Amino acid sequence: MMTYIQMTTSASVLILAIVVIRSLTIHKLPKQTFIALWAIVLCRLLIPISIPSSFSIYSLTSRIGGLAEQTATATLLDATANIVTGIQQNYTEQMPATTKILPYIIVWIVGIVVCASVFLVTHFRGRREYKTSLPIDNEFFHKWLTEHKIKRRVQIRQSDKISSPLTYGLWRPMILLPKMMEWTDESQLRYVMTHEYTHIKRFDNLKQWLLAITLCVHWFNPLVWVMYIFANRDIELSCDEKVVRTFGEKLKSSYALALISMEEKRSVVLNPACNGFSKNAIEERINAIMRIKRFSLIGIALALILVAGTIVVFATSAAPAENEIMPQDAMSTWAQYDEHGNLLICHTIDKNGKDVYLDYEPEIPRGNIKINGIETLSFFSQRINCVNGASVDHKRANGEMAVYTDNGGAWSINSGQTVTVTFNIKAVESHENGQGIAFGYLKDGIYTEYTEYDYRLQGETEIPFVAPEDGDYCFFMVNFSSDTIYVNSCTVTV
Amino acid sequence: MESKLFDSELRIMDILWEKGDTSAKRIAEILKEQVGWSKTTTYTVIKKCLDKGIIVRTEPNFICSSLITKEQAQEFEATELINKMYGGAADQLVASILRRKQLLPEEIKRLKQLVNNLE
Repeated sequence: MMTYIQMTTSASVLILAIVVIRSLTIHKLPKQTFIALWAIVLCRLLIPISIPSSFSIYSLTSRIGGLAEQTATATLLDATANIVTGIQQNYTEQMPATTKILPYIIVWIVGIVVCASVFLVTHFRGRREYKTSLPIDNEFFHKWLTEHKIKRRVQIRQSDKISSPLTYGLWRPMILLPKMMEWTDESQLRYVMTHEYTHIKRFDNLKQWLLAITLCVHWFNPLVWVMYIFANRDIELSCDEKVVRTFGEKLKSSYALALISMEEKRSVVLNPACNGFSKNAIEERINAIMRIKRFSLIGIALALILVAGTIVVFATSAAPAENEIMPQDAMSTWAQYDEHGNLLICHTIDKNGKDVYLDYEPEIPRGNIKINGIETLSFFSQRINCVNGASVDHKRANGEMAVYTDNGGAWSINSGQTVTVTFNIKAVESHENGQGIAFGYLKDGIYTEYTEYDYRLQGETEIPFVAPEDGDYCFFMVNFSSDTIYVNSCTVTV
Repeated sequence: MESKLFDSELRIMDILWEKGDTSAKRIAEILKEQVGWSKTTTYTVIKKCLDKGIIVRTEPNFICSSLITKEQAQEFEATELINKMYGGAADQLVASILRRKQLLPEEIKRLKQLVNNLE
């Protein structure tokens, strides 16, 4: 669920960026550029993996963002984080968590089913109608088909139930032409056929299906709807561009006029009430056609840079920088038991940041911490690497855990050896007596009980620790204070 | 007849008008040959015609028979056209047909006869 929210949020940022880029450069760049950009969004929305990059906008904002000034992006991400935290907080209540989150999942799935049904019913109803189309006996098309051979067998038929030309079928493509077409106007027929052929050659039907699937899965995200509309338009615009390139720029006004004349026929047949949007789209198409220019090498290079840049900046996730907090690396397990000691719910955040529900007890000693009388295992946890024993500054909210490592590894400590862990924290108002933490250690990777290690942090606090036996040790703290603890540094001296 | 006939439906009607009552299976065979429809597609269109009440289907062998004549269909389509394009004025339709092309002398003769009959 967390990955899903991350996916849809980060894609929203990307969609907004593309909409802005599109509105600024639509007449300046090859239209395929936008299709490539939308493809990046689709990958982001459909594939739950992302490549870490230190140029990622999420790396940048976390660096620039700081505490006070945050960009809109960061705020958006924070909003999601709050939702996630909200869900997590729900768990800590007495109610079993499944009853809290289940309604949302049900609504989401119902939405997917409704969306998918609408698409499928419309599609198959259309298919049934198209099947009743009739063959065309026209010398022009026989000639066309022999002159334009592709691997798949293309069929051309006519129907009196459609008002503008269309293409369907991926493996056995069918071009369907409206009966009302001007069958004698060969130049118009040539435009139409080139346009539809381009759709077939570019597998545009497949693109449209992928867009529809994405819309179904992310149906509640309004920006995905925006993308759906624009991406479908861009597929058309790109095809128009191809036609103009094929016939030469001089004929672009003649192509635009052919489009308009087809549109006139459409408005007679279709109910004009549902035409408001398509009218806007046809205007955009004609505008775009009339402004097609010969592309310079610079334009194409710019387009390539734009696409590559978008992938690097937006489509990747924040890179785990050295010596910094690595949320992706954190392993957090969370379990809740009832008064009889039966497992109510258990979930864990794995190394990829994916939230996983477990239906078994993880192999970590339980009953270590009690909050409001509920026994829990551990908390949202982040690994903090100490370089030469000292960490960078970090913060922990209430109930969060920090695990300190020796630059990713553990400290080898002999039995009886004394270790001092020193916390230097920023003073927080209304906590004159310090902020409460539970302090503990992992020996050979296993969490140990630590209820006895109860400390209050204030300014600089030294926590002495005597190793009970030989082993590899890491240390951790859990913030039990009601406020965030701002740790300037945590130093481990062996 | 209440609504316009689509080309697909006209294909079925043409067969019935030409050959008289025909079984659904035979219609499917003919149309497979003529326009490449699958059996399912033909049966879908037959169902449409049944729903429109322009054919009936009787057991055994699903024999289909037309409930309207070709002339009725023509008249309906002509009325539709007049209402839609000529605001119900038939004379304007005739005028536009006459403007469209040079008529052969015998066609003019037939038209005159038709007008005489109506008077």
